[in-house]
Amino acid sequence: MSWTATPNTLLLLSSGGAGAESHHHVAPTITYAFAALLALMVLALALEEKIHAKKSLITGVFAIVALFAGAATNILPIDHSEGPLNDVAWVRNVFGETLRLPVYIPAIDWGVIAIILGSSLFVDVVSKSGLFTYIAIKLTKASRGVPILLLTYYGVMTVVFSALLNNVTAMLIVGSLTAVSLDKLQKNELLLGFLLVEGLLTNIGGLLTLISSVPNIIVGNAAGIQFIEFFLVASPYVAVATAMTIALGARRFGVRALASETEKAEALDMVRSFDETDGIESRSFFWTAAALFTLFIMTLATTSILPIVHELGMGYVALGFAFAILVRFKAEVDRFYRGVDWDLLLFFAALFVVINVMEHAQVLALIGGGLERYILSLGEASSAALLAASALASAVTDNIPLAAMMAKIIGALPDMALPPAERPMDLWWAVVFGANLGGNITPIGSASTVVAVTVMHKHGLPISFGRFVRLALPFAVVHIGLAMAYVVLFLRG
Amino acid sequence: MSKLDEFESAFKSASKARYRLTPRHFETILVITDLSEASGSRFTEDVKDFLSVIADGGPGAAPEWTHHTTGSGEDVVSLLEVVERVRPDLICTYRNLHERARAQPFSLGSHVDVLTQATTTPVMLLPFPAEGSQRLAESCKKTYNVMVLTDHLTGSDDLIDHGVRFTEHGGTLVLVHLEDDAIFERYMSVIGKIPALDTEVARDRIAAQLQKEPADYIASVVETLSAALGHLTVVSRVRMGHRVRDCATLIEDHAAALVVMNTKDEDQLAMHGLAYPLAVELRDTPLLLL
Repeated sequence: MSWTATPNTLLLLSSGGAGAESHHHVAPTITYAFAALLALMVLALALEEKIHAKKSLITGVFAIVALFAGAATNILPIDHSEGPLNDVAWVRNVFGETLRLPVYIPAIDWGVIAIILGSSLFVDVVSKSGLFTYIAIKLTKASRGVPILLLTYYGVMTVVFSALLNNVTAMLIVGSLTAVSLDKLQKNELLLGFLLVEGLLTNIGGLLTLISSVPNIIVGNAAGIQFIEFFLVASPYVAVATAMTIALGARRFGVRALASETEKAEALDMVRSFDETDGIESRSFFWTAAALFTLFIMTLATTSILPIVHELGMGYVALGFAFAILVRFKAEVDRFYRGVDWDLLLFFAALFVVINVMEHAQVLALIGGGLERYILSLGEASSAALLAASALASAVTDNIPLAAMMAKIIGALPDMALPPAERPMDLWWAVVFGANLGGNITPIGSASTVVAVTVMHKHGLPISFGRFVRLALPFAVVHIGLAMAYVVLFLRG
Repeated sequence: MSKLDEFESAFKSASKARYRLTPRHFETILVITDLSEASGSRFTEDVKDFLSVIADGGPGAAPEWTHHTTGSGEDVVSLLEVVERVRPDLICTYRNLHERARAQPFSLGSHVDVLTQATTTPVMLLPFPAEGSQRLAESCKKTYNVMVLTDHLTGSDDLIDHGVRFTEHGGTLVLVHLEDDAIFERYMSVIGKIPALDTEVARDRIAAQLQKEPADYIASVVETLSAALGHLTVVSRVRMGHRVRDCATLIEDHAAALVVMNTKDEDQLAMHGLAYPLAVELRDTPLLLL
């Protein structure tokens, strides 16, 4: 087999998808071998805790192996024709200039990396202003220390923070506040229930906006869903699922109102002793951060219609706001660079490389074929089946590889070649809902539920895998069932 | 530091101890002396005059005063039996009670030691009676300036309540939180030997946090007392320093007529680490030991 470079090489390298399979043939044995490699990586990611290895290392090792195997089997877009570009990978830009790039560089979706890097830096700096702790404590005081109100306010706050920040940061803020406030209110027996409900709600909140979770960013980018459109579609589901989760949680864990006037007065006195301004070191920075955060959300929401900005994308917006707020700490920005989750970013980069190699090895086409045969052939129930399958897969392994693979596979389906208005969107939404909600089935299903379990352990509430599943499963069944109904009834084109 | 710990620390810092005023009443006050009956009665009258802020009423009825003179053969156990029988709300006595070596400047005497530790009743420790007249020492002035002195002020509602009760109308209540700089330096020297910890950051942040908590607490005291009483001036003194030398300076600077301190140590049957050396050192200053 040989690879001949064409002017379409850029497409093959960076977006691949349907285009890749039409340009070269790969022997089935090679495809199966690479499929086995992919399965091994997914398994290793599922056993991440057991093998005590970080995600970035696992995917990094597999990326290195996959690239070597890809080059050795001649499936990568490396030019083997005679001439100045012999044995190198290259891309041609819109001006017709040929750029020599290592084959793994265009394999990475830099737009996604930019969004994650920019928004995490921005959120990290904003959190130093005391804005999020201010809001969290204000809500605690508004609850007057009444447990049922506290659960409701913390639940809604979890959803909103998950939507606007990310689900891990939301769980860190709300989980740590929950532990402190319930301890203050001498209601430690409610901590497990509160943390579980909040952990589940992070994944509900993760559905609310395009930037709430990585699967949303990946699938949304691939499907061409804009920020506002994403919000308008997801918000009715999120509102209903949030209300149901809080109601179920209150009933299951015995979270009630306070009975006597004495209890109410004591609880009110206790929550009043929280000082929401304690974390605010500079009022001017606090207000600057609040204004920039509002502007950040508004800019993300309108990126698609803003002149010039829409050409640069959401990654540019996120990085732009990150550097704008870093000016406040211009002499110590390295402190924030150290705080960046490099494990997550390198994980994405390596994952994109692996997926790209799998694409060239026709593994994604193989999976797509299976998907078409067994799930998409179910007609009206296909999106519901895809949602359930995505949820189950996300429950036991990372939802990001799933989202990245499904984005490629669905993007390569024949229906996706139709004009935008005629494309069936329910499959995209099925992956978004499934990838997010699958995290509610097991304690390892999402990074935020891992944080919830960590808070439980830290406060002397060890919870086994089995117990978590027993407690969370009724909620997850409701969430996934509701999502299946929502996608089938309202999102089928 | 993990992000989880970072947020939890932020919320713990925001969760502040707030002062709640609980009015204190003294229905029975026991004055213990080793004087003759007549001198003891005169001494009791002097104490009543000195503590007119509680003798003259205030909230609740005027207290009942009882005078007990320890006989020459009375031991500490008998004295405790008297306390048990009278069940006073306050004991007033003086240093080196029932001691032969009254001039002994390095202790309070065994009777006072036991009274402060073996009973739960607050003890007003007065200067030794004046030589000759055997009256209350002239250094005892009206309690317009009362100082609450501790190395752990945050949450010490009981100390503040007593300070408030003993401050004359229109007087000044000085709240002192003194962090022992010798202990602080010892921890800093240990931190300085741990490569994983930034010594300068630790020094700045720990010192700031140690002083921030009592300062926040005092702010809540000011807020509460302004709303509930209004006639007291509250002065805040939060600092690091030498536990005896700096305390003595503060007492002198503020002309404290009474110093309120904790003496009960939960871990041992001995006076609280800060209270004993101060009680021995400040021989002319009346102390209220809780």
